[in-house]
Amino acid sequence: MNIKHELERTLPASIKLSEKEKANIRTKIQKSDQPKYHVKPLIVSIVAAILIGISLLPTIQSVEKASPPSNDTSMAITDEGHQQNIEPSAQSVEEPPKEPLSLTDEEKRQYYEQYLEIIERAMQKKTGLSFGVVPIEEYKDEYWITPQQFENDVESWLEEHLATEREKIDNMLITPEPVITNTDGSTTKTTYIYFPDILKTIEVTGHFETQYNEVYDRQLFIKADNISTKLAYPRGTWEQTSYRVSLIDGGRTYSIRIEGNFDYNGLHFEKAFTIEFNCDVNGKIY
Amino acid sequence: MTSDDKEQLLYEAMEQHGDYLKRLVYTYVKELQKTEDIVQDVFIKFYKSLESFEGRSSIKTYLYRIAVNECQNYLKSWHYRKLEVTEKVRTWLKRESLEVDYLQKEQNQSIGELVSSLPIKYREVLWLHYYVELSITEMADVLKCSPNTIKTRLARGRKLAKITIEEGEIEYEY
Repeated sequence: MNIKHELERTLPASIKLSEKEKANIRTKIQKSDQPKYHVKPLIVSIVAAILIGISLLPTIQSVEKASPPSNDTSMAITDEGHQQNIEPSAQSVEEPPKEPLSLTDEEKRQYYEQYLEIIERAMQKKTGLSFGVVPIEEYKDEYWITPQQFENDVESWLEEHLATEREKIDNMLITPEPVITNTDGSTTKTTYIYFPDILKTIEVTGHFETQYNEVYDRQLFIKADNISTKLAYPRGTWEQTSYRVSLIDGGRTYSIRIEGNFDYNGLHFEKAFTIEFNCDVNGKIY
Repeated sequence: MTSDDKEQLLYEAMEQHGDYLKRLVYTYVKELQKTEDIVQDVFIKFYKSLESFEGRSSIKTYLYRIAVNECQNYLKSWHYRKLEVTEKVRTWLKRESLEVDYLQKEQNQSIGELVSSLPIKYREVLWLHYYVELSITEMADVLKCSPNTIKTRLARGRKLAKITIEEGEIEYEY
């Protein structure tokens, strides 16, 4: 009995470190090895941040005084949108340990309203990113925190989420998949969508028409329709709910915003993302 | 160590161990895309830490230690635990039918499937030993525990797999 062979049989067929993955690793290393000469902007940013912090301090203090107390967070967050419960965060490093808050019903209602306002503001930071708070009736005692703590938690989660999303997608797009023209004339382009800890490859297909434009002496887009999407690897399910097409860059680019639902292992995510299709002077789409 | 040396080592590590390492990572996380993410992080960390690599272990052991560490960190992460909980809830809901199927499944399980069903501390030593072909000392280095602990886990892992196999009336030699 060859145990090595038996063990290998439990793996999906031919898991290998592909050349593309190797190239990605090398590229990422090269990028991170590049010297950073941006000391000046960094210093300016730090000084600016300190100044903003000082100028906001009185405002923050007055808000804290004016608002009643509370404890820990439970949010449903939708990133274009994920619908998941975010556990109470312990990330407010500079804050004192959170003591359970004993709030009256009226205080809870006031806090809850402030939570809603905070997440409303946070949602405006990124198109398609939507948050929700679990219904007030489902708020456990240990969830209640001060609005300031809540805001800190939301902001730190949001920053971390957006930074991770950017990094993951940028890494994958270092060596993009080729744009494919299908036999029916449609065009398929691959992009990536990020959910916490999961990066999914998604293929966007559409029918595009270009036409020669005498003024610009080149081909430009004139039409885009039948935009559809599917997961490149069918782990989890993706259902496209809508899309919106915008012709930009003088007719050279279609910017397509797509929304849909992704379900995976019992988790439900709503998601919106944007992908661009470009056409070159000869009408080739990429 | 010069930049060229590091790149050469990275190249050799990816060529010689890339496939095996990716497969091992998959046995921990069971998700292809997450596996790719982790493998990428492993090689980047490997490259960046080569400056401080003192050569007290082999490159292979060093690389697998980073990989196992990354996998264990991922398994401790909130997202994974949430997925695991979801899976457990589903399993609980289906418990009755699972129990009915259990004996039948056990009869048909291959040794690989039996190993996959073991707790991770037994599973990882079996994979590292039989698949990656690490010695007891190397596994102790990778898993940061004593050789005796490795021996015990290996023996128990073998025994657990073997017991189940015997119940299935199949004989395997180790």
